[in-house]
Amino acid sequence: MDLGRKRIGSLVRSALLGIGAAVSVAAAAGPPVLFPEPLSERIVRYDIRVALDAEKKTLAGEETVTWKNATGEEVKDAWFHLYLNAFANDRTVFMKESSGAHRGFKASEDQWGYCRVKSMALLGPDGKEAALSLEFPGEDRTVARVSLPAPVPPGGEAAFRIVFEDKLPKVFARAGFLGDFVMAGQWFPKLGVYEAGRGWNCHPYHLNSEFYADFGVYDVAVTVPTRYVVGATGVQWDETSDGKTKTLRFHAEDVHDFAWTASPDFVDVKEDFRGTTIRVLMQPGNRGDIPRYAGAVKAALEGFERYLWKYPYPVITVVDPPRGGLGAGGMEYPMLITSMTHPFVPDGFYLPEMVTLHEFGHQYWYGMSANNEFEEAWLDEGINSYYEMRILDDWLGRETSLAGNLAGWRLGDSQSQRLGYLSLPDADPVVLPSWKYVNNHSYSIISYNKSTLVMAALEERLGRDRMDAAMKAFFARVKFTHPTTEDFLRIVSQEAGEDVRPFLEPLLFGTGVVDFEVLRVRNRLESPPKGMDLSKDPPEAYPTPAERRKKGGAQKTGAEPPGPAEKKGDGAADPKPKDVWISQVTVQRKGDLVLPVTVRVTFAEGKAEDVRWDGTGRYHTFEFRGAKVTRVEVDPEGKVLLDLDRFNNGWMSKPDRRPAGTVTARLRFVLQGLFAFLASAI
Amino acid sequence: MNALRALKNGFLFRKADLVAAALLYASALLFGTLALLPARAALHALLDPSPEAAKLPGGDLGILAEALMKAPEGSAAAFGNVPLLLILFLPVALLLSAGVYSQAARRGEVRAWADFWTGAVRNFWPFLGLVLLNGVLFLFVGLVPGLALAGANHALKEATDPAWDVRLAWAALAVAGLWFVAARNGAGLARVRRAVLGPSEGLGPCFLASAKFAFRRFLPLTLLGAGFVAARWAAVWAGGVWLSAGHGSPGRTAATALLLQVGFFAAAVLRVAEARTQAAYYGPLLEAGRSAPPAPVEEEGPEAAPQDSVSPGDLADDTVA
Repeated sequence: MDLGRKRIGSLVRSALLGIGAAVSVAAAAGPPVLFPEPLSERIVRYDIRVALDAEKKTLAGEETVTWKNATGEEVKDAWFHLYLNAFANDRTVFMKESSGAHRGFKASEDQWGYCRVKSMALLGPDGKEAALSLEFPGEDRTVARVSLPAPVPPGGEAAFRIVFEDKLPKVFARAGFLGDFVMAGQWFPKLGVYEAGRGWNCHPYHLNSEFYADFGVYDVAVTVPTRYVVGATGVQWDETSDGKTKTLRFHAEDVHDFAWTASPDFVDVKEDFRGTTIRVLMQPGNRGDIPRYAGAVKAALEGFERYLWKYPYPVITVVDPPRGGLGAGGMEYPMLITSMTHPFVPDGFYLPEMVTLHEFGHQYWYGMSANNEFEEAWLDEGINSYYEMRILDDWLGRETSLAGNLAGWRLGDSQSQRLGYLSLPDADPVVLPSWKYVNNHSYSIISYNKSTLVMAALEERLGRDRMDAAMKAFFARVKFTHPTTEDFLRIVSQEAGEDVRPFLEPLLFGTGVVDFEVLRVRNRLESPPKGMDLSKDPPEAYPTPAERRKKGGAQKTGAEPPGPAEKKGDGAADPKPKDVWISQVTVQRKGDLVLPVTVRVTFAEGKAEDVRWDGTGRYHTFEFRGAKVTRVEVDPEGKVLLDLDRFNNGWMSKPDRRPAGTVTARLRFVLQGLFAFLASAI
Repeated sequence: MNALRALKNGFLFRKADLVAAALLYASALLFGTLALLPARAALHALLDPSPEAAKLPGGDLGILAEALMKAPEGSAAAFGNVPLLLILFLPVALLLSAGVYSQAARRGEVRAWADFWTGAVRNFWPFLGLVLLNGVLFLFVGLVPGLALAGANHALKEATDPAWDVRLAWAALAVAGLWFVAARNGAGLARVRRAVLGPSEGLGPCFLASAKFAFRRFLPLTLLGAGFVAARWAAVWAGGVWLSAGHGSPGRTAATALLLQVGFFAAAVLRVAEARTQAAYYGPLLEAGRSAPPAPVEEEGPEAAPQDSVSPGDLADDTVA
């Protein structure tokens, strides 16, 4: 495992102002062109100027938003997200859903946040402005609507000029400030998505979902005090200063959001890797973990290129939130992600790697495949978690991809996903709007963990090669669009060459579970027939044992009927090897989910045989003839991660006392140590 | 020098001291085993028939967590007797420590069993009183650094550099360690004083005089105490580290289990040595102060009194009238 620690020197050496080699920047020439051929339909264009008041924690902003009506319908209004209003008081949708807490961090009672639109006007073709008045149609003021003086015709455009002021909340959930640290996410008035036939899709800011916007071009000028280091979506192409403040200009294409961060404390390092500039903005006390973040991004760049597509943007920035500001950690924005680490995180626990890789993966699932997170979060969180698992496993090993050595213990990402799933497997279906889950825990478990396991189940069904090919094709077809679950089912079925709906629909739309169990194992010696042989005419009696012995001499033929102990098949004295056993292995499927599974049967001679059950029916009996069955394992490689109980997946003729003995020994260490401590402490 | 001499004398074990160490070790082994029995049975019932359990010896945290998640009621049953055993163990531990200190304070050869238990029974209640007094004192003493740390944590609430967490953790560790060692010394020296001077002195004066002595000799006593605490942890931890890596084969499993027990026994030996060192450091001063005028103390076996440790100041401050 290489976490890239030796590359710190090259990281620091390459810490120069500028961006990736892929972008040629000339300030005088204006913003660079990143993609001569647009990657997306570019429905929107944002030109924003924003200035940070570092003392008041406010942002003064002006933006011009141009929206193209790409539908065949006339559009009479426009809907905007004013996300920061979620932090305005304790009556907002977000605050009510979260009870003012997020990931263990609580909202500040005296540092609320808001986004106030000071003015909004429609820009006419002649440059004249027509003032618009805002309505707030929802439960809170995170969504605003304006009626347009005239409908926007199909193919037409509308341009809005908006003056706004933000007050950043003290960060506890995603965006805000802490000390001098600023995380500006969801900070500007942003258009919803107009869907043909459905109108504007513009949900309030919910606790568990926030992303759904059209692709476009962003040109953003950020003004901050000169001592600040700034990171943002896009590429920085210009910087000017008046001595007290500096203005940095960023340009991004074919993205659907823009976030930025600023802090005077950031340790700023850059490194070029496979044509992409990896930039890490680190807290000074965490600088030792810079190689961990950079290493994870490298693994992600390689992995996602291998499985899906080469990362198309020239730069990716990883932001390390400060002490007390981890509520801003683990977030994704185009070309900018936030991760998390701490000096107490041991080297053998790959939390920083996992978070970084996961958030990078969102560049694909959320970023380029821009589904409606409000309504179908599994399409970004679930599929992305599946790729997190795959790439971490490739990089760090399947059984050690989350913890390589924690005091002798190890943990794989897949097992971690499974543990999460087991904690609440069936409260809600996968496909459900985020605010309709029974609780926050269920949202997390189902959208992330169960969805990952569903993808793994699909992989198990299709086989890895077909799965990878189908998903690669799916991504190629939906990138820079807004795919839905229906698109997923349709396209994956087409690309995999089979209709996956019957398999996936119960997994995605139902709450069924599955538990495989070895129900019964029977070993019996094959015995010669008794009674009358009707194939003879007239019928003859089969030979008795005495007659067979006489015929075969003193040599044992193996055709003797088994004794009582042998009939039991377990713990009995083994007959000679030439004895022929008839073995029946019955596997049961409990729960409503129908999944295929492999059963591995091991025989007395040591040979093992894998057999497959398609999972239909409640149980299935396999029959074997030959050596006695000594061991049965359902899903021996642990691929059916949805199986609720793996401890009933096996059967052994001789129980193995060693695993429990090992755990007992470890427990003895703890318990005896506890009493020894007491004995010495008193 | 007195501290070093006391340390040397503390390790010059008699047969009876080894027996005392064996008793300490055996008590933890017995209660640890009793606490383990239900969990052991539950683990065998769950894991023995399952091929999946084969991943556990390799340290698969997921399988372990899954086993625990599978039957929370079973986990409760498996470990439900631990709190009761801990409560039952407290008087046992106090009785044993009374025996250890009573024996440590006696010079010359002692009868391994008889003297141990005689001292244990005689000093059980006084020692309980001293331990409680010591607990109350250090609870209040601990409030000061505790509040200071809490204040520092509050003052650093807005500090954004994660390195502050490391600094705070080190500070808390240092304060807690110092507090723990000082508390142990206070309790140990009070018991030595009681064992040497007997019931002629009330518990309160006994405790205050020994606490005063501990304060005056803070540095050497703290160094001695910290050394013993660290050595005991090292002995046990060495076994623990070996244990975590030592289950590749049945032979290694047995060897590491044995090593762990050796570690626990070494920890018990160190505990007795600590009591003997405290007795060797404080005891001669007390004995010298009890006989007036102080007479030169004859070298007498391994517990030889440090001759130069007797000073008028020591006598004035640290002995009863």
